Amino acid sequence: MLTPQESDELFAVTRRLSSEGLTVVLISHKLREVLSFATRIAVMRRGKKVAEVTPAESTPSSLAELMVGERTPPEPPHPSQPGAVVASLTNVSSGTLKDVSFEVRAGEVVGIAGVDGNGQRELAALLTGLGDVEQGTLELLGSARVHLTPHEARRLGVAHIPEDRLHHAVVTDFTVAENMALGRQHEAPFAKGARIDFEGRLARTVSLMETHDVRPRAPQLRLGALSGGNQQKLVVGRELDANPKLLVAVQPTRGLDLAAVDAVRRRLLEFRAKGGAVVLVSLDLEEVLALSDSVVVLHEGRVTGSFTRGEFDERLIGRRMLGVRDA
Amino acid sequence: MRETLRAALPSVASIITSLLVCFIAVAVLRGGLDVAADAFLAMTWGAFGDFPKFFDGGSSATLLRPLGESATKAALLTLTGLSVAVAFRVGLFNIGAQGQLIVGALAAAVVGAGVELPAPLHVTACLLASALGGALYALGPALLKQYRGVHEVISTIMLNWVALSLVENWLVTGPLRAVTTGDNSIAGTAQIHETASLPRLVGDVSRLNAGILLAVAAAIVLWLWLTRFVGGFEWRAVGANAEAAKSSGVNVGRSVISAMLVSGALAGLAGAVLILGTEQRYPATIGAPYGFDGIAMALIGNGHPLGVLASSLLFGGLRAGGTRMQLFGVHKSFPELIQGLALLLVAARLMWLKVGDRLFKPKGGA
Repeated sequence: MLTPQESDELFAVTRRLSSEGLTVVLISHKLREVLSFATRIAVMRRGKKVAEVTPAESTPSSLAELMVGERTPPEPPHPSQPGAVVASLTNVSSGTLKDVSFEVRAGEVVGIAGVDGNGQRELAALLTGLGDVEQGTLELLGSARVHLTPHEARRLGVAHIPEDRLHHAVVTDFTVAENMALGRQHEAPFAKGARIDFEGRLARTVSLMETHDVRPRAPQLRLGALSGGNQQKLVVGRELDANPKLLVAVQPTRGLDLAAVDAVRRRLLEFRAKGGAVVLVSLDLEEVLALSDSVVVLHEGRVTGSFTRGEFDERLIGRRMLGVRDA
Repeated sequence: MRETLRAALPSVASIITSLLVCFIAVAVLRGGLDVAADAFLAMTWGAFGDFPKFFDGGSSATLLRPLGESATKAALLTLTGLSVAVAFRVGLFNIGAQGQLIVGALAAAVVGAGVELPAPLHVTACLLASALGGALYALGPALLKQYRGVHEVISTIMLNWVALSLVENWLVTGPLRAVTTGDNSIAGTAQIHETASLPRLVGDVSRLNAGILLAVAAAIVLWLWLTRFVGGFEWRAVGANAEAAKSSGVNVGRSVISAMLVSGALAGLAGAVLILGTEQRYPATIGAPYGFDGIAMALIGNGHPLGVLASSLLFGGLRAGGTRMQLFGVHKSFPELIQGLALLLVAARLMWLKVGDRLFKPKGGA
């Protein structure tokens, strides 16, 4: 990420290069940059070029519309019955997050929509004990701690499907069974006192692999030898197996094949149906709208809009994601 | 089981290749395969017992004396190797085993000579002092790493020199130097009391002492800890993927610091075994760089406590037996060459694994 000053400098240099006859291709999701820099704009959506326009004939909101597309939001899975408040943020600031307030209730999915790098990562870190509240209050499952360790967050009942599976969720050199113990290594059935409970761990791993249809069904295999989809099914299975109250899922279907995407989404909705609360961070707006009961839009770390199912307006949400005020 | 064998393959293949290459080198340079064979046999008998002589009607000493020498060296290699290996397991490269060994050795020498206690207590006190000294000497780098981000390779290397200078250039030649009687000038600290000596296992026939038992016990305990206990599991998780360990609620800082303390304690114990088992005082200088050999043992043993023990037993033996190769015109440091070559080859882990996977393809593998 560049600071505004750095990106201004970068653009000054590239502009000079283009005036000297060089061709510059700028790939960006920042409307301001594209509109001020480009002479021609090609809009991509889901791998296809959907339009080619000039900055003169475009406005931020017309571009946003082209980028997000005009689709009717999918039907709600079933109406949610929100229960008690599980997490509530009041004017919370942390890193790029500024003055963020919203609530998550039991039995609902709160989707976080936004373009990559607008505070989603910090938000997920806060909820899982990996980040600290700098200002404001975060009340998580009845606890209003400023410093929460990941261990404490897990004890409170927070589960985490991190964005970067290989770096944050699994140890590829460990076996599948060892990976299933991660996060609950001190608890039954994974431990007996200070010792590892090999039998309990194996039995639980086998049952998780069956429930989530993970192949090959080899609990002693190195986890790294499994496909990404199977690894993610294991992560989702492991996190839900802990009977959490709040699940923080960041990009849970990124890079998965369609069958695995469906499997993961189905698990999230099952969890919600059983009264679990989900905070779903995804860069895929379609996914956010398909699964969420309410949507909070983040732009540059601030909440620029919040919507509940029924009032989802893709175009409006798209504009909020790009920081465009009302057109 | 299959994974364990696969993990051990690079080490075994490297050692065998290294022995073969060195064998051929001796054959070429010293006039033939028979000379090389004789030299290697001499080394083997010198390492693990002179069986031909024994079966010719030799006394048990023909077996026990070489074994004693091998075991003494193997004990030191095992302890320093475990020291480096345990730090590896949490993702730290402890180059400071030599410094921690020096501190541990001094602690053993001081407690061994300066305190009077009945025998079993005295040895125990010396061992504890050494372990504590080594651990404390490793604590600095661990804290610096955890709280200031100072790379442990840099801090431990520098502390090696600090230990060497403080102990050998000042304490041992200055304040702690043995009081001389008559015309004899003794280099090093005062001799330790007999009660502090590590007990010999087979009387005066051989220098075989309890150090090797300590080393074997340390390897087994460490192995059990890493494989059977949740705490050891957490250490391994930290070493394999610290970010994932942190997300999983592991206290990464605590794991790193406690593993580094154990690492230092093991190197310190190596110092104690050297003093209480062999030297009986802190000599003017500890010539042998056992702390650095520990790095080789940890790498050849693939960071696995039992692997470290196995490679230490082998190379401890070869080193003890190597002196006998001199009769065939081979320098006594030749085993170090074998060790160095094996270390070089084991660095090509991935190559060996590829070769192994091609040779023993698992059926239906991914």
